[in-house]
Amino acid sequence: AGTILGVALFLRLYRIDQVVPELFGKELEVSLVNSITIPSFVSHASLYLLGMSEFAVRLPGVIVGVLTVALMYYLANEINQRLMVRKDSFFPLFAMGVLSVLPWHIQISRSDLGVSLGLFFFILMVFPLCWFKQNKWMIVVWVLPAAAAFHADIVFLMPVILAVGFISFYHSSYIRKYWIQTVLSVALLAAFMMPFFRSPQILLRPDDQLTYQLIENTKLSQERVSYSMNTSLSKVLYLPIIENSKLFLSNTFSYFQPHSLFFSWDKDQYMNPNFGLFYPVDLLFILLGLAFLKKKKTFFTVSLIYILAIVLYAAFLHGSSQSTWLMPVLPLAVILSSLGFFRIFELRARNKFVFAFVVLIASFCMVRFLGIYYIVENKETLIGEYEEAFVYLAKNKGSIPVVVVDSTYGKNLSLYSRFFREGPNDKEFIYSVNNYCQDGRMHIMPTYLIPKGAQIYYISQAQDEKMNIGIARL
Amino acid sequence: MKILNKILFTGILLLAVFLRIWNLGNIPISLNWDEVAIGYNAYSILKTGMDEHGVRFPIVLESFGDFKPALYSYLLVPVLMVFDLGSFAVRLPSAVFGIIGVIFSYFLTKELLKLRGNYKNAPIVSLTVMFLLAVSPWHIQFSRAAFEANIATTFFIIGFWAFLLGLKRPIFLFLSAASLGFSLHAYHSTRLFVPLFLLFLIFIFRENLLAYGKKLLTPAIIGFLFLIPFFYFALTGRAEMIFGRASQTTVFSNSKSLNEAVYKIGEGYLKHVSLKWLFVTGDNDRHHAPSSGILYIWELPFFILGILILLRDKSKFKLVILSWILLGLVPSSLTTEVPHAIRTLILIPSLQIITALGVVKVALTVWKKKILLLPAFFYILFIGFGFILYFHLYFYQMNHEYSRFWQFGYSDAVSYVRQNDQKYKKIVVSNKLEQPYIFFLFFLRYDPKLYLSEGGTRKTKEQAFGKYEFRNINWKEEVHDGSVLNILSPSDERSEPIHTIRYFDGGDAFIIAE
Repeated sequence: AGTILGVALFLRLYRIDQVVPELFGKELEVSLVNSITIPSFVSHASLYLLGMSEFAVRLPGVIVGVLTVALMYYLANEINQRLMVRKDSFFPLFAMGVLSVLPWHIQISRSDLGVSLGLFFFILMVFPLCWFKQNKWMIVVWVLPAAAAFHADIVFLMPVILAVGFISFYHSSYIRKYWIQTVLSVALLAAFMMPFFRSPQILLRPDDQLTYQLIENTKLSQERVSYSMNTSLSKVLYLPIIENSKLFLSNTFSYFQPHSLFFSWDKDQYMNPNFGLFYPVDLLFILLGLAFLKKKKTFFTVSLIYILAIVLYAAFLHGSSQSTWLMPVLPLAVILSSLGFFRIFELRARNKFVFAFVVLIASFCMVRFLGIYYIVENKETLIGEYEEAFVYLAKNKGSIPVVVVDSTYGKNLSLYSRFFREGPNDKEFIYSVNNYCQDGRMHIMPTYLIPKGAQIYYISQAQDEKMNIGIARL
Repeated sequence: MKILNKILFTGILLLAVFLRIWNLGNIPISLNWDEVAIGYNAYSILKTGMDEHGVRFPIVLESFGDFKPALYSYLLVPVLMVFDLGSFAVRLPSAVFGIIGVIFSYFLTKELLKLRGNYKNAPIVSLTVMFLLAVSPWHIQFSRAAFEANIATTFFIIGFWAFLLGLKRPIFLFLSAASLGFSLHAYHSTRLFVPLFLLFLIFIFRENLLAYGKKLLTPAIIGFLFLIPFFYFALTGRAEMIFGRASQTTVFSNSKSLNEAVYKIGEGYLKHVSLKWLFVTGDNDRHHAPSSGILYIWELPFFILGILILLRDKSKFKLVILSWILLGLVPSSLTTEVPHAIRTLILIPSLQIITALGVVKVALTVWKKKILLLPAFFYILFIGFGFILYFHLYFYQMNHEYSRFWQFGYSDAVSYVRQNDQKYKKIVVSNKLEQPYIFFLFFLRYDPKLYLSEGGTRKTKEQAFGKYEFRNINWKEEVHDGSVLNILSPSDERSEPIHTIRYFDGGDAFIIAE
């Protein structure tokens, strides 16, 4: 276990300030914007202790990630006792090992503190649920980690709601028997959920991409009806709800695409598109795990309903698949993968060739991930170029106000400016590429926009010239 | 066949014929470059016995460097004796083979279900497969355009059916060998799939086959005859005739290392295991109707149920169907553009068989437990709605929305040129338009004898015949004295156009300028 934790720590900590090369907007928001959330509190503490740096921003996520790996041991142990996989401690160790090297968890631990914390508390929540019948006060206790989970990140709200549903269904007589604890638990949960009741749109509002797709669908439907001469048939056939249903179905299926899950998750910014959320060899393990789980009907059914509910809700809100919104499924996937891995491990005495082959493939997958993720793939990014310019300016010109011409189209550059220059909030000095003027002030801007004859102080060294950012007085 | 079965069989057949022949020349809106190339080469073979490159009775058409199997063009030759060179004629062999495929899917399913032992629902499952294939968006899409893969699939269905029959009556093995042999010369992906699958079948049914002894020799010789051209090309240093297309599309030639290629193959293989691709979006816009997948959404529950039924099966039926699917994905996985509905077309019957197992299981359950009749009624309404929506999208909306993907506009451009060519000494067509020379040869019905006497198709990017030149156009360096008519792509540099041909979506297709 110690070795596995050591590996987990190394994989989460190695080159933490360089891989991923740029801080995500969400990381900076958590670190710089004053808000009363658990991730924000943790991050502020880290910045206070370690100073303003990428390392300080990302370290809490790493620590929480390693703690989650440790927690996985105990979770797998609980499940082991219930499913009777094996008497000794091999299975929990497998689960820990699988999570420690999992590309999905490694990448999230390194870049999203909120989700990392949420996952930690979410797994913590499962223990009181497992001990439900041993101690009646667990009916109340589970609410605390549950609330911490969904307040760390909203993606963990749905699993909590599902947990309430499962408890009500499977333990109805038990919770009725201990009604005082149940009432207390409901009141506590309701109190923690109050912010969401006040603004339920947080839970139901589609993201920008989905909103755009829905608008496009409406236009498409109108065009089709119009091309069909506004016939009654066409008005029924091309109701926007039909195209929207297809979109919803398409979004749902996107989460189940094996090539994305196991080879190339190229759908959101948090994941390196060269890898899936899992290693390719995990597909084999998960299938074997599912085959094993099929015999445990209740667990299998609950798992299936749980996965479907998580995915359907995520697809309902987002225009493209989001690895973070799939995160509540991770512990279950790790258990399944471990079950499968365990099956293969058991094979080793009977069929050495198969075992050796699987180990070889698994090693190949891991080496590939380690090589590409940590060493080869470290692409320059536009934010990285801005970062260099901010750092240059901070070193050479102090914290003088400058105009920043934003060519990122949608990233919150003011946060980056504030972080890299450790200066005041520069929001008022940031202009879009189409909206700035030559007023004699210092400008940080794409070099292709710098007019001829302007005094240039600095140009970044991007390989792609179009990405170069310069500092000039216009 | 009982009378009811015969009636249903005939009804489904008529439906298949209607869905494949009705308005064939106009839907899809235009012939694409492959269809045109197949068409003109068939025309050239008919008139001269040679293809556009001057190769006498070719087995492989070099075409524009993609080395098309020539079988489709040969099937087109007799059609061109009856019909004019045009959309309908070029697509007719594919449509006819599509219909034959629907017919033989019935017989193939019947034979396959015999592997399950005494399976009493075989006729109804077979009819369901036939129906599903008759109305299949995937099959209709490729039966209504000149896609070689459709011909290959039908040859494979016949060959596979004959193979299963041949396990009881060896005479059918001759037909099997011939039909599978033809499938090798019909499309690229069958060249890999059919041998792999055949080896698997031989392994599974080795006991039946070995019992035939010397009787196997003749079918083996027939099969070998079809391989001779491949050996001939390989031994005469013209391997590109066999592997030319593969080398253009394979992941190996598009990867930096073996490691990357292996990873891409794994990824490509799994990309086909995508419900999104199958049921909602499809792939290339030329491979499906607007807003449609390649299977109906309503088939999904039956498909999932069918898989569960298949996995529980303990007979050779399961092995055969699973190997068909698993091996059928191999050729496409080795290529770059995945998932790919044409390269995996060979899988259609297997998927429809799985779906049919689910449909029949549900139908029988509903029939027994009358309580489910109401939900079944609503689901039938949903299925009916699915059909109407798909047919409206395919037969009505597709031409309007997808004209650019079907390379619309060449016919109009050639008509314009033909009406005005007296005024010009030279007509220059931009190579930025995709392979324009073959479209002009086709729509002008340019005499193949004359074309070949002028040198035929050259091995360069620039082509010419008569007063036509096909090359890159540098607008500033061209002659602009009114003696040259230029047919340009919208992305070409140019002055004020004298005529513009547009797609139905309003975008520019061709710019005509002096």
